[in-house]
Amino acid sequence: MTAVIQPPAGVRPAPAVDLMELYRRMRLLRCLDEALADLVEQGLVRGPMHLGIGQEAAGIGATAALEDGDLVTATHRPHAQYVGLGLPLGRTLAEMMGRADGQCGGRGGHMLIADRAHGLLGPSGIVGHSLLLAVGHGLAQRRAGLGRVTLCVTGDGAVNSGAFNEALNMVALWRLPVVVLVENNRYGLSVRLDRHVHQTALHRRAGGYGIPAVQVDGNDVEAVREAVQGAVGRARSAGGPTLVEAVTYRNCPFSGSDRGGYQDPAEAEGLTDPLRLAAERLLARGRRPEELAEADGRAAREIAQAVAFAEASPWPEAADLVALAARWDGEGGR
Amino acid sequence: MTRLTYAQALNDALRGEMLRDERIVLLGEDIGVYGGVFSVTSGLLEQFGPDRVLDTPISENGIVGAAVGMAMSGLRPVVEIMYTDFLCLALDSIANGAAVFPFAYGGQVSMPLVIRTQGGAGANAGPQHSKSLEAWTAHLPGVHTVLPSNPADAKGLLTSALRSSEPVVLVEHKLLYGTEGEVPEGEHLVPLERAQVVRPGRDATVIALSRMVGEALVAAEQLAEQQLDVEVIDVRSLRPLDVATLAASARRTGRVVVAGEAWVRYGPTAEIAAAVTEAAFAELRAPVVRVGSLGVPYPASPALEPTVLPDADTLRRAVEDLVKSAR
Ligand SMILES: Cc1ncc(C[n+]2csc(CCOP(=O)(O)OP(=O)(O)O)c2C)c(N)n1
Ligand SMILES: [Mg+2]
Repeated sequence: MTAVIQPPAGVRPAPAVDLMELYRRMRLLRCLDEALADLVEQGLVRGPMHLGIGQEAAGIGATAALEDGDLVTATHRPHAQYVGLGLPLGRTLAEMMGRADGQCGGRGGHMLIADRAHGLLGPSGIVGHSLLLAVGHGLAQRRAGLGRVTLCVTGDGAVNSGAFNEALNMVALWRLPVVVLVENNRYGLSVRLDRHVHQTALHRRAGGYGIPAVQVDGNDVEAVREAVQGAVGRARSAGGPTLVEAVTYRNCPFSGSDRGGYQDPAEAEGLTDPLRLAAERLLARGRRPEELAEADGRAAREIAQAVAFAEASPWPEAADLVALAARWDGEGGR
Repeated sequence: MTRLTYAQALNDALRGEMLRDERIVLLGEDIGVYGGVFSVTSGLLEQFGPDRVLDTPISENGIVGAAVGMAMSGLRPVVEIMYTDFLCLALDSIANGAAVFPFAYGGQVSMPLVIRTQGGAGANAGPQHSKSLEAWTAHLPGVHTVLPSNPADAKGLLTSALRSSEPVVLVEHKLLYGTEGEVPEGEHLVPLERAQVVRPGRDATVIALSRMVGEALVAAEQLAEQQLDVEVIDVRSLRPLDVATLAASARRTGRVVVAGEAWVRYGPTAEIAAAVTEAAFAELRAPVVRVGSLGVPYPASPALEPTVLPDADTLRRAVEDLVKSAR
């Protein structure tokens, strides 16, 4: 999975991302989610809210394997893609708060933030959608012939959707440039992996569709990046789809309304937090603790600024919606 | 009588009927160990065991399709679909399965299937978690669609559904789960085909669905201050529709507003308005007015959602305008 494959001409390679940068992104994501937990508590962000505390390495590692011009589809838990793809976080938080400066003008909310310029098209709150969208993107990319790739992020719960079966067959059948990243956090909402799927080694499923697959430690950001890089390289060189299963754990409530009680506290004990793992590795490679503290401080400041931007953003005007309804309803609608 | 929330009343109905009828089996996402995202199935796995309360994979069409087979095989499946929005994934099993087999197989099978789902906006949940799609199942001959607006009806309608031999879709409302009300203890049945006059009045009729019943009652109180005496009717059952009760009121008041959360175009209020107009045209003093959501997807922003979603104010203004325009 380590083969280095040159991207076709026209694909602008992303700047090389070292572990320090991956750590910085994971810290930014952690700070974002921690800030969001507070904003939800204060009532400044309303509606469902799915944080990814404990799962940062999977999403951050995967997006770091992409090049400019690639596309990403994501789930109801999309913050790792927001940060990993470099979305402007002030606007992103404004969207989550329902403000006018949000990427979608407040219409989408936290799980429907698309950002075409950053390659995010897009997350969806319906389990399974990311897989189907990826088939479409893959077809368009193959047709365009520019060597672009789609990273499709999905969850362990989503592998039981009909969409998973339909999408995997299509990407395999048409050899589409799609990388399916299954973020296996061992729960689909409250239902433990072994209670919702019989074959719990999810990457084994890929064999049934005739696609290569790999399982990685989803808390090891470098391992994820390397696995996805290999898969992306294959997709880019017309080698077809790959499934990457990143095994991780959600160390936070499922959503704002989670009553808890279904996770066994012992489960989390042996786990290494992805940020701690990366920090220890950085120190072992000669980075100084002050450098990490400096990165942590910078992330916290960046998020504080983004929150301040979002809070200052105006509310959207509803007049647009009224005009839209008039056009769609014809005369005499509401 | 006992005071229960809407969620507890539903739980009470499930528990009571599961004790009474061993054929009842519950299926759904997160309904077992967790007790349901809205706590409706809380405690039932512990009481009835994993053979009767199944936590399912995220496979909506799969579980509704399986439930259709279970019903044909003599069980009484009750499926929870977490959000009405996800019922879209299971429409095939309802429209091409549950609605068809009892009819097409010449009476060899019955379809004692209950689908509980939950819809509605007002929780800033955005375009994929806020819709009101009851018109879609109400459109199907052979399928009952009922919408309880209060805890007592929640228990009574669900109990009747659990005793029906025909498929019933029970559409709950996310903002009603925590509301409290008096609920009869023990057996309590509400017929699956009867509307209910919840506030008598002489000057105008508001025919309301689900959460809009409560909004209509608030509007009626405000209108009473202007000496307007408004009758409020809870539709309860979209199909079969209790046209007799609705039309009798329309004939008495001559002015009718139909209120539901769903979009107006092709929504449930359209059918109700047409049915009332057909039955009471001569006595109507103005065209029936419909109140529903603005015809756009539900935006997540708390600044935008209230523009889309009707409330007591929208209803009050609709009645005021209607009274002004009527002959
Ligand atoms: C079709 C559909 N069914 C159910 C849901 C409700 N729901 C949202 S997330 C979720 C669990 C998804 O599990 P998984 O794919 O493992 O993602 P995770 O939440 O663990 O990140 C469920 C059941 C939904 N959004 N869409
Ligand atoms: Mg999961």
